[in-house]
Amino acid sequence: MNDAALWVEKYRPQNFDEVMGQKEIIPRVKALVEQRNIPHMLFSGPPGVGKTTLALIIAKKLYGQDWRQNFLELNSSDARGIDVVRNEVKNFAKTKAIDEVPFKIILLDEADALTKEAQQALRRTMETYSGSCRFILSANVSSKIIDPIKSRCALFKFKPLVREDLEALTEKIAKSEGLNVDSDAIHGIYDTSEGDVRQMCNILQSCAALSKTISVWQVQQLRASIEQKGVTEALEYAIKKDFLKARSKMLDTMIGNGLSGLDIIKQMQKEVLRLDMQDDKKLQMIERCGEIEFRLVEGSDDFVQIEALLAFMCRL
Amino acid sequence: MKSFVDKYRPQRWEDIPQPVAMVKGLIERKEHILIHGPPGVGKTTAVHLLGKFLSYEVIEFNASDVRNKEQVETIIKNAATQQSLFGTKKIILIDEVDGLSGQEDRGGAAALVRVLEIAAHPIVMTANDITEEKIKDLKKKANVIEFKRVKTDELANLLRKACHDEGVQVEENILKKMAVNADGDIRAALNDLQISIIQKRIVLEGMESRESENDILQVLTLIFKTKGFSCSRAMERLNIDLDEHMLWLDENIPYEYTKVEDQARAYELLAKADVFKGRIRRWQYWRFLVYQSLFLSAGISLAKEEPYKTYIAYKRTMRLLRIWQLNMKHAKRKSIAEKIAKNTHMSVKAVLKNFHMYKTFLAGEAIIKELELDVEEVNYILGR
Repeated sequence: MNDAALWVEKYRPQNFDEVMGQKEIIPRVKALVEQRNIPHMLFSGPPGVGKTTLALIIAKKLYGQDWRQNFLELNSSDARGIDVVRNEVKNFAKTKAIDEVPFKIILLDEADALTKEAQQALRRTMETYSGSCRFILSANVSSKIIDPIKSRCALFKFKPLVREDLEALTEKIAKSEGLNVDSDAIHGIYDTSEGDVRQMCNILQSCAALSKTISVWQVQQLRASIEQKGVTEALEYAIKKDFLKARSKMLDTMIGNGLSGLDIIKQMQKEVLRLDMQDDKKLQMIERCGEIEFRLVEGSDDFVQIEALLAFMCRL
Repeated sequence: MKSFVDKYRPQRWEDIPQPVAMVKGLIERKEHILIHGPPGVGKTTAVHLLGKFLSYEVIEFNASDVRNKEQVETIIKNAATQQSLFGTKKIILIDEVDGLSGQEDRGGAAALVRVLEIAAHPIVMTANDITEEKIKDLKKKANVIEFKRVKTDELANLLRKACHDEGVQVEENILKKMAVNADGDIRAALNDLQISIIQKRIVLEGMESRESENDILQVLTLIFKTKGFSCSRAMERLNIDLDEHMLWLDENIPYEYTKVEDQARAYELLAKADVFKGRIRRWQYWRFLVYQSLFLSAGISLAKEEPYKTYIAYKRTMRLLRIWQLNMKHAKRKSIAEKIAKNTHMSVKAVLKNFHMYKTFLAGEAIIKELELDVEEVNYILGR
């Protein structure tokens, strides 16, 4: 624990033993770090299970106080193209690492956001600098990483946290922050976070901003807001056959929250499943969602396709 | 609503202000004819009316449908050489022979020349431009008759009559203006009149400049208020920018089509057009443009069960304006998200997705200090 104001940082594990739920991975990584030699690594797994945390711990253990000079963190989904990544790596690799450890570490987060072509370029970069740098790639899905990269990395598959682990962690933080969280609320937080520790910390901090006593009702309110209320409302208008209102709500939600058509369709598909309506209609809606999602993946216009989906739902 | 072009199509060949009598004489002598002239002056209409008047069956081909040699030989040749079953007389009408494009047609024009030589029925061809090299030989085998641009006075008369039949009062100088604008094209004049009447926008200024927005409004009105393919031709003629056109359709479909069935069909066609737009980009195959533009005109026009009578003032798209406004409003959000992302080892995108949750607890003093949020950013979080 440190004195950070954001709980995700405040409670981010600083030692191998504090990392929860990854019992198969931790001893292996720890052994590598103790030998002061690590290979390139690929961490795959859902968000909020400790991939970045483990990379940070590796750096801190290897370099101690000076870890920041020897550790470069890049995010694939924010970096504009592989050239940006390459340039940063080039600049970073120019200077030598400190005495004991003969390499620096580059953490490339969300590597699965890179296109196949960009990954090919990344592979060459990895080879060029393998003398002076080690890469740690993180990805939600390892299948989106091309084989030539996988074959150059040690693979580590992270698992989502099980209920007991995450709930224990929640209780620990609640206690430390002087919160009064009942067990229903703790269950609710686990359900909402889906095993994502980062999400759990944020939910807890968000609820705590309102009151030191946290009830399951508060958690549910928050849960509704995580799932973009606007999308739900737009869907409701569509079912009431009011296309104009549905469209207006949807546009505001998309533009206002910077959501892509794919973000929207994923949530709509989930919500359609929960709707109280005839099964055959529900199936038709799901079928349509699939078609629209396919078109979006192919690169069609987000607004036009989502509007067409809403119009379809209005008619059903 | 029937399009004015169909509604006011002349009923007798004598009503067409062109040398139709000459065409009549040639047909009766079973001679081949090539009628040329600008669009919308009555070429095709004249042939159909003569057919009706002289009791000929008119068999129509569009040169752009039968392009290559094989097609000309099998399709047109059969029709032109075979006697019909019950001895009815036939006219073979081949529209837009100048549309036979050179190389691709692989001898289409040459095959047509041979058909002319052996045809048992009179063949009437139409063309806009007979200076085209590829129809040089066709000209030699047929009697060439020119249909001229319709005179402004005659166009004005036509429009005046249509206004009278529609029970609409239109000022004389406006009718004149419209007639001048149409540049001898009856079809264009009638389309313009219908649109103006529908839009109740018979104002001199409106007709004076046919700028792009005006064009788009015209096409939009045709698409929405009529049902069929005539809007596709208008769109082609006016050279509408398809991207701009899509935005207008996108905005206005739900105001015009108020029945959910119509809305859904129209949006599905809009979405399909969008899919084809993507395919053009992806495969660099420009013929997909045909489908994109047909879906965006006739497709959406035919998406309705029947035209709506209510007058709608079509609006510019609000989407771009909305994006701009919201971006201005949320400019701070991105700068805040960048700070959170840096601080918590996340991507800006991932922070933005959960931003509304962050917003609930960012305003605390410790966090403001740690993230180094400035006054404006704090005000944004607090909704000030």
